[in-house]
Amino acid sequence: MSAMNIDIRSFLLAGMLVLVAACSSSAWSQGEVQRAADLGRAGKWTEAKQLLEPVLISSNYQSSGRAWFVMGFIHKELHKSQGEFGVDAPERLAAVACFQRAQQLGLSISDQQMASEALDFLSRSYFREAIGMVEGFTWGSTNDIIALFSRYEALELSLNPNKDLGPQRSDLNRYLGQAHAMLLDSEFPRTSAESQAIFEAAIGHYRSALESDPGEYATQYNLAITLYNEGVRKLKSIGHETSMFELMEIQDGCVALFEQSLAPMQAAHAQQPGRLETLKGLMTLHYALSQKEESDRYRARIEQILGDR
Amino acid sequence: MHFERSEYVPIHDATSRGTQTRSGTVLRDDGLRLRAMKLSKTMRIGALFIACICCASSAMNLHAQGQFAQSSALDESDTRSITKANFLFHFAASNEWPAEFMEGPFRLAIIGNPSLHAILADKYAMKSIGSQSLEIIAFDDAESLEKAPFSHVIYSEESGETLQRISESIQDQPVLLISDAADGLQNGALINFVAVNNRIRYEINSEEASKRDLLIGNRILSWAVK
Repeated sequence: MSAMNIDIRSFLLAGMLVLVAACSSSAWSQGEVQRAADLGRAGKWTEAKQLLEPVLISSNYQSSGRAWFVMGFIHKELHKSQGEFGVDAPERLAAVACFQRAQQLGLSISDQQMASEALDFLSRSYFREAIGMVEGFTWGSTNDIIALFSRYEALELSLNPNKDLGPQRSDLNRYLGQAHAMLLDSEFPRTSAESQAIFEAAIGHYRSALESDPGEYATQYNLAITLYNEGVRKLKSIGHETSMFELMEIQDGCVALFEQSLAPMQAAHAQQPGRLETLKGLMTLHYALSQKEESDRYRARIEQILGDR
Repeated sequence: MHFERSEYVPIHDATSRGTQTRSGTVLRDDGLRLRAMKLSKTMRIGALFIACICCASSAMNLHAQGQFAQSSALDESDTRSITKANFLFHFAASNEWPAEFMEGPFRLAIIGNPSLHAILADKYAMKSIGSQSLEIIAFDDAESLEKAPFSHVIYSEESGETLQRISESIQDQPVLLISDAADGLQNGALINFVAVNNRIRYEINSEEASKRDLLIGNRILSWAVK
């Protein structure tokens, strides 16, 4: 009996020790989160990270939404202060992962709201970076731009699954189409194979843009212009060493581009029939296709509009 | 820990989500709770400054995107004249003139199409036809041609009687008269440009060319539509 009592006492004592140990560990860990938050408040984000990161690996904090939330902010602030960029910017990736984990684990209402806004900020930072890269476009950066936009899309949809991002994807494709077209117009030295690849990329982006937004005037017009200008560029490439056979072949290629250009130009014109740039485009296209009567018809319309002004 | 919401304030990016105006408040950590507090005057000025910087940055961003909102520029080059210029050079280079006309400069005259003359001059002015240096001459009208020296090739867009008069003025000379008129060959042109399936092609009056002692090259003949 007494031996049994000793066993029970030993068991209870061991249980109490485990409980005390667990409580003190939790309290210690809670303190680490608070201290990391304090360091962050003082702008010491690196120290905050060094303090909290090892703690998060321990099992005590694997299920603490608050701890991951604070870690998310630390990564986000480090991302901002380090001026990171690129689709694989580590602090930004880590910030997103921490906030998403925090949300999965559960947060208070205010933390939940802050986490959503932080994710929204990070999401937009991907978008802004993608647009920035389009603005300073260089040949070969398309994959990075698309990857940044895809990150933005994925994050936006995680925040709002019903959001329609089609128009923005269409815009991005239109911008990319135009960036490639501008590169074609530039004096940037390149081989004819590169020129062809840039041209095909421009056309591909414009067509992708039209898939999600078929009624976009600027895309239709720019697609038509890019096709037409490429035809003219090929025509200008003919020189004194071009054989008669090559001349005929090049002319066939140019005419094919002019013919392809006609449909989007007509579509743009149908949307804004009084717009001079499309009337001029149609006049020029029909002229290039040796369709004099049609060309004259658009010329007369332009003169009429200018006369009315 | 300060979680400044000012970083969200000015974003009016390409998502067109609109400006989220939250100026005047800043959220800060209060234990485990975050709460809004009134800004001090200094902080308000600071927030306003940050907002201005961010708005300017946002405006720059939109401005920069504006370049993409603009339409691409149409290449206004005269495509038909470019094509014709290339053909004219080949007509000059691929046919044969009597031996006495294969000395001195080779003259190519353009009547009444300044655009075509400019393209020819730009592209082929320094080139040669066989051993002859190529001279490209422009005339305002057919009358000006009468006082001009011999031209091996004459291009005119005239038709009908005017074209016929040009043809008659060079009747016994080995001049390759080229036109772009529906009745070109009937009125004395040896080569006439025509539109076939949206392309510029040409027809030839070989019989008349023989009468003028001009030997039209096989490469030129093989691509003629008539």
